[in-house]
Amino acid sequence: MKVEINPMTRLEGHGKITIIMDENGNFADAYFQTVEFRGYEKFLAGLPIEEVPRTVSTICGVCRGVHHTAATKAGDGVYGVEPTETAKKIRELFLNAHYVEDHAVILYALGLPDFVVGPEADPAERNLIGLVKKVGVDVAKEVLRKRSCAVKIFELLGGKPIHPVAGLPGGWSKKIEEEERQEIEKLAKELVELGQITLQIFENVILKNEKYMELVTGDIYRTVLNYMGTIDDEGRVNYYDGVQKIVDTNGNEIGMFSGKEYLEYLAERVIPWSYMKFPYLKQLGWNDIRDGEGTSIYSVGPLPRLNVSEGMNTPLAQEHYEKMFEVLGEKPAHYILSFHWARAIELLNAAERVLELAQDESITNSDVRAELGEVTGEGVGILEAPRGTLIHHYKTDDRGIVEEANLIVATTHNNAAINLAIRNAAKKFVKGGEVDEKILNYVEMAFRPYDLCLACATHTLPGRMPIEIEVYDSEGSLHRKLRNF
Amino acid sequence: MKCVIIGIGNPNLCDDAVGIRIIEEIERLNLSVDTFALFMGDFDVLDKILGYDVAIIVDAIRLGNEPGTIYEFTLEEFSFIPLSGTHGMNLITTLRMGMEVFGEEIPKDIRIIAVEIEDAESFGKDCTPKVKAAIPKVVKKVLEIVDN
Repeated sequence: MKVEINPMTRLEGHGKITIIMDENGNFADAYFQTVEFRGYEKFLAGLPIEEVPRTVSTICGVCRGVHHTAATKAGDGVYGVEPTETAKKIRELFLNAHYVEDHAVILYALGLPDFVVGPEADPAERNLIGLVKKVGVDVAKEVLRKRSCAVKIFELLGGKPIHPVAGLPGGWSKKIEEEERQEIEKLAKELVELGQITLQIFENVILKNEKYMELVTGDIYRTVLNYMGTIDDEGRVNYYDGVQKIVDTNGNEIGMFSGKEYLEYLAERVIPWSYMKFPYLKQLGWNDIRDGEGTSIYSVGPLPRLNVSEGMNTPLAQEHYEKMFEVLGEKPAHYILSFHWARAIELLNAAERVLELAQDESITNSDVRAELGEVTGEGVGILEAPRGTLIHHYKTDDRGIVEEANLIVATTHNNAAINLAIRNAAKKFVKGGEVDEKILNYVEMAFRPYDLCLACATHTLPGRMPIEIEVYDSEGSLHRKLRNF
Repeated sequence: MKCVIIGIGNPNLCDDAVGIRIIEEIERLNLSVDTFALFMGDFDVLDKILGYDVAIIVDAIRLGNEPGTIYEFTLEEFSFIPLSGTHGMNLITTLRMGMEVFGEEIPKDIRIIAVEIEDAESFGKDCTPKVKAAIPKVVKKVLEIVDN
């Protein structure tokens, strides 16, 4: 009997994983389904482009700063204006502070508990509180206090607590006063320490644990794909600005693009069982959801960024970058649990960058906004969100009113990659009809590195990202169903 | 007694914004009490409540009852919600973790007031009628707690 995989009829920010077993109870296939990210695009039509950054910052409570900054960059294009150097520095400072707070949450709440508490631990323990018990209250307090330093910088620059409003076409709405710069510099030193503590925990818990390193560098969590990320003019990772580079499964450059040129490189495929489209590389043509050499599927995020780059733009992060690729023994690295490692390196990198920018006294200059040009009618803002490349593309009328919006978020870029990661893990763990919590956690560990952001604009209590796993036998009967909501 | 009131929600999503709308109403009263509007119940909540004696958190909830129903919970009464696994953060996990880590710095009195919602998916600045009708009732309830 064939199991029909249809989009759920009422998928409200849920993620759904369907695993199908063969007649022996072994893995036969797996699918990951979630909603398409389209609601906001319609909502934005009719808004003046300068209102868009303030509106898109509500798309997601976690990613508020990245949507705000990407839309602000797109606004530069619509008004045909190049922001001042001071404005660019403030935007980069804002984005890097956001990286620190976001990467810290993802690592400590989602990534590390699997390792610190253990992948086979009781789910009641395998969470943030379990992690606190393992690392100790003093370390946890230190981590949370230092992370809140990043939030303070984010709020100070964003112009409004939580909900940033300061980005404007051509610049930023408020300058940084000297005493604010000094305050940010002080806070930034705490962030660098947070980055170092995080990498030390990673070293102690994962790198020194043989069993965990077997998981990290084993075949179960290895998905061979192409990668995309943003680099500066020296080929180093950059979150705010630069060009987007794509490499193939062997690290050979497929191409580099900026702005609207993304349309020449990225295409989207509609598959009947999925609400969300599957982006792929146009040059390689659609050749199914598959990994390995020749695939046209690509991935974005912390590890892909490091894979496409020549290094990091700060000294301490650079040391860890070199160590990571040396330990993994390949570049590009295809081991997806290493996303967590790359994320920890990026946390330190972003913290160092915040400190560098805060120590640059010219960041307090008053020229925070350039004169607007004529309305061009089109703007593209691309940056690296913590989860991966984020594209905001707007078409406007001659007054700058949005007529069309296209937003491609990291979870959409990674749709096929997530499906493949889940299939590979399920293939290994679903055997002989045995499907318990532990096995399903190993399957979940395959998608956690991608840090899915599923319609998290809605958050009602209890507030978890709802994920449902259904396991079917070869007759099409539901064998096991697990949900976290 | 130092008191803080926090509303959680997405300001652009219909009933999901009910916590934010309640905070806006309270802010119009110009009380000498600190208020914050937040998007999510994650670590940001901890940053805002540390050092207060009383924290009142207003949020949307879906328990399947009549839209507009108002619930009041203490943290202990929320024990029917399991701690999140390694899937994501939620308000309850955040608060429990906060108590574990920060001990005395966490408010001794944490009240969660939740409003049963109908539509958290549609865009709009207005809540649905039944949820909207609950807003002044919640404001009254919050003010009673503050007064006491």
